[in-house]
Parts: sequence; structure tokens; C-alpha cells
Amino acid sequence: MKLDGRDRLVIAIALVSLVLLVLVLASAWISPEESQAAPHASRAGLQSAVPPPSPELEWLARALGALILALLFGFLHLGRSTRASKLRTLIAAVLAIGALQLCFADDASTARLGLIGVWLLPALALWLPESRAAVEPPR
Amino acid sequence: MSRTSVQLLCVAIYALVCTLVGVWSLRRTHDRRDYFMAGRRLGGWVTGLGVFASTLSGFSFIGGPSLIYRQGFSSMWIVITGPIAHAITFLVVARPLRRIAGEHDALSLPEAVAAHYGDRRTGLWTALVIIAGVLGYLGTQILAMANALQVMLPGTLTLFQSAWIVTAVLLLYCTIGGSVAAAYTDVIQGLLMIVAAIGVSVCASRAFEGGYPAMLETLEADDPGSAGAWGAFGLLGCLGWYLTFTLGSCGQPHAITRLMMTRSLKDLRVAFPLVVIAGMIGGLVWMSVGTTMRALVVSGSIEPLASADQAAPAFLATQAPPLLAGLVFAGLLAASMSTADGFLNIGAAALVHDLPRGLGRNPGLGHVGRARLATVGLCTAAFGIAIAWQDLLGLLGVAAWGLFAAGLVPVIAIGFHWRRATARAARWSLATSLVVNLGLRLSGLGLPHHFDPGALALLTSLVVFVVVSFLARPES
Repeated sequence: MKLDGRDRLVIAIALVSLVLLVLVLASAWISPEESQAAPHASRAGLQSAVPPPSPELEWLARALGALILALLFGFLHLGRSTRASKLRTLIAAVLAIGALQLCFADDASTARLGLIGVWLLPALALWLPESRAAVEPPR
Repeated sequence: MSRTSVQLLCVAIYALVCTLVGVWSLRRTHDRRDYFMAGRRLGGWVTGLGVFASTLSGFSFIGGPSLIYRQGFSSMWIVITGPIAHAITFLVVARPLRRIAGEHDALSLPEAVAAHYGDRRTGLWTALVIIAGVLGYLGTQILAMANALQVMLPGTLTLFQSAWIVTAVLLLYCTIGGSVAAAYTDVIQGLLMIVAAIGVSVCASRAFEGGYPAMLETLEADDPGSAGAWGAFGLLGCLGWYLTFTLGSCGQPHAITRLMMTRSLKDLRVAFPLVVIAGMIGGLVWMSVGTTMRALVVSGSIEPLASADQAAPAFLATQAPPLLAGLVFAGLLAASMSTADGFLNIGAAALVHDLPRGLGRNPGLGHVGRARLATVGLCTAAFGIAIAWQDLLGLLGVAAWGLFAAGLVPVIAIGFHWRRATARAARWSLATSLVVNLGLRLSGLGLPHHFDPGALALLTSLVVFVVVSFLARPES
């Protein structure tokens, strides 16, 4: 079977989805007690956080976060356009750094920087050149 | 003038304007193309504000602040998806969808999907996913509007009566004008929501001494976990939401159907920045109101609320000036009405146009009358769902979003760009999404770490779509 670039991209998206699926289901075995922990309501309607995550769960979350970002990156590449693709790569990289900073920041200023990265920088996509994506007829 | 009178006046003015637009739209609705696709003559501004108004719903105005109040900052992971989610929608889905709709003169999303795959059964499955999601989401909007009406007229109406009134109003302007009315009232509604969002966030910052920095300090001192990046919901639950709401956005039919109504592809370039900027402003309501109410309760400034869903209405009743409260209530009704109206249009199209076509029958000419009847039927069913699940506003909204996302994202976002995608894979993917989503929701089977069932269904249907496409032989 001869595969072109688009086939490889779609296969990568499916593989990342599959790994995400397996990791989510496996998380019940990686940290069985935490997987069932529910936030408790301290006052009427207000919930308190579950206990801080174990190191295993934190690593699992890091892996999931990175895979989700890879998935978004793959989808952004689906609307193909050469110049646009390079800019999207840049945006996705900034987005990834921002999101990871936000996820695992130890102090408020780093988290704030991460939030800016995740929330505002995708707006850079506004300056992307118009996509020349062709609609692919199915087989 | 009393607070209640000011609020009612604002809503009455809004309702009058919407009715006038509906009557004006009636003159512009001549055939089914006008009814379902607004004659495919919407400009960039109308499309952009329409997508924004359709996406921002009662879930954002009432459910969002409720989630922040209940769980801390967990649901920030839903709010921050806006720009990147719209980027994926416009960069990946908008152009091919508009092009296919134009080339095949498709009147609905299932028809565009069926035309692309050259298979009416794919259209049928798409219509089924849409009808399932529409009923859930429509119920959410009716509940949100009914709750708002109850707060505006305290002690006057039961939830049943409120739901009945909003359903009647919704039916009135949707059945009169179809998508022409929806498109143009969305312009008014979108602008109203932007003004309301800015006003509320300014007002919220003044409701607590020391503003937002003091609120954050108070919340962190009370419970550092819920004031942190993951809130009370936890790591994996938040990541699941992020996935569902980022990727799922390009599979929300009420929003992407608007992209099929544009005059030309060039209009999408105007609509895209408009949606991103308006969405970022709209998210302010979600964040500011919930944070303020939680901080006020934690600091002991106000009594704990009887229910988290009261966070936004209680804020408006106690913290906002009457005129702003009236504007926001009108904005809330606008958001819910607009989203519900979009759903009614696509649901009616699925019932009277796509289901018959999928079953190999000709829907016939001049089925605007049947579409109006279908609209009444859908509204009645959603009214029943809203009354039956009246305590599950947020849950209904999230479930419907997940249904659309898991069903439509693989078929549209990947399928429109991949030559190897097959109609059989599309049908398998759509069916898988329905089975996984409904199975997990109805069985009450909890996923580890509260991972979102919609996200799990989305991942599953993505894998099924690609695998079946590679395995399946092309159909003749």
C-alpha cells in the first residue's frame, strides 16, 4: 500500500488517539485509589480539591497533555498550505510551551505566562495566509 | 422604577426587536433554500456574530459561573479552548464545508456530508447524531431561559410555567422566519452579549474589595487546590474537557452550519477574527461571575447559595446595577434563544429533509410547512426533556456537546481532507460515537479520574474512522 503525506498524518492522528485512549483507561490501574477520588463539598455548593496528585499521576497527566497538543497540531495541519503550515507549526509550538507551563507551573507568574500562551497566542492564527486546501473526494 | 421593572423593560425591548426582525425575515423567506440556508447570502460580519452567538449559550451564562463557583478553576480548561478551537474550525473545516455546500447546493450539514461521500446512508447517520444532540442541547437552553425568567419574576412563576413561556416565544420567531430570522437576530444578540460580558466583568471586579487579586488571595487561602490550575475536578478531568471542547468545536452543527450560509469564501476571512475576539470577550462572564461569587461566599460577605446554579442570577440580583442586570438577562435570553433557534433549524432540517433522503425517499418540494411542524415537534420533545431533567442543566449541555464532537469531527474534519476516507468508515464512526456516548451516559459508568465520556467517544470514533477507512474496500 503506497502512503502519501496526508495518509501518514492521518495515521499519526489515529495512533495518538489510540495511545490517549489506552492511557486514559489504564489510569485506573496506574493510580486506582486516586481514579475514584471525588471532590467533596465543604460548604453549600462549594467543592474542595481532591488531594494533590501522586508522582505517577502527574507523569501520566504530562503525557496526556503532550499527546492532546500533538493531536491539535495534527488537526491544524489537515488544512494544508505550505506557508501556513510553517506558521501553524510555530503557533503550535508556542501553544505547547504555554500549556505545559500552565499545567506544571510552581508559581503564579509562570502560570500567568502559560495562560497567555494558551489563550491569546492562537489568535496569531488570524494572520495566517489563506489556506489553499483542496477538498479531497473520498474513494 | 423598580429593579424588576427595569429588567422586564430591557427584555421586552429585546423581544420586540427580535419579533420585528422575524417579521422582516418572513418577507425574505420564499423557499426552502431561504428557510434552511438564509438564501446563502450572509456576509462576514453576520456569519461571525452568528457563529459566536450560536456557540455562547445559556450554558456559558449560567452553567459556566456555576462550575467556577462549585469547582474552582477547573472549568477554565473549557474557557481557554475558544481561540484554538475556532482556529481549527475555520482553518480546517470552514472552507471545504462552504465549498461542498455551494457545489451541491446542500441545505443542511447531513446533505453536505452525504454529497461529499456520495452516500445517502452517511447522511442518514449524520442526521441521527444531530437529532440526538439537538434534543439534549435544546433542553439545556429551555432550562437556562426558564431559570432566568424565574429570577426576574421572583415568586410569580413555577419552573414549568417559565419553561412553557420560553418555549412558546422560541417557537414564535423560529417558525416565522427560519434561518433568515436566526441569522439577523444573531447580529443583535451577539452585540448585546459582548456589551453584557464587558459590563459584568467590570462590575464583578468592583464587587469585592481589592478586585480580582484580592479574590484570588482569598480563594487560595481557603483551598489552594481549587484555586490552582486544576480546580477541584482534578488533572485528568480537566484535560478531558480541554480535548472535548477544543477538537469538538469543529463538529458543533449549530455553529458550522452558519459557515455554509456565507455569500462567498472571502466572507470567512472576516468572520474568523470576529468570532475569536468576541469569544474571548464572552468568556469573561464565565470567569468573572463565578470567581466573584465563590470569593464572596468564602470571605463570609454573603451567605452560601442554595445551589451553584444560582451563582449568576444571584450575582445579578445583588451585585449588578438594575440596568446592567436587565441587559445581562436580555443577553442571557439572547444567547439561549439564538442557540436554541440554531438547533431547531438544523433539527427540523434533519427530520424533514435528511432522514427521508437517507431512507431513499424524495423529501419533495415546498416542505417549509413540514419544517415548521417538525420545529414544533422538536420544541415539544425538548420541553419534556427539560422538565424531566430539570436539575441537570450543565450535564445535558456537556453531553450534547460530546455527542456532536464524537460523531461529526472525524467525518468532517478528517474526511473532507483525506482521499482514502470511505463512506463505510464514516457510518461506522458515527455509529460508534452514538453507542459509546449514549452507553456511557445512560449506564452511569464513571470513567477513571472523571475523564469526560464525550472525549473518550471522540477518541474511539477517530480510531474507528481511520482503521475502517484503511481496511474497507471502496464501495461501488
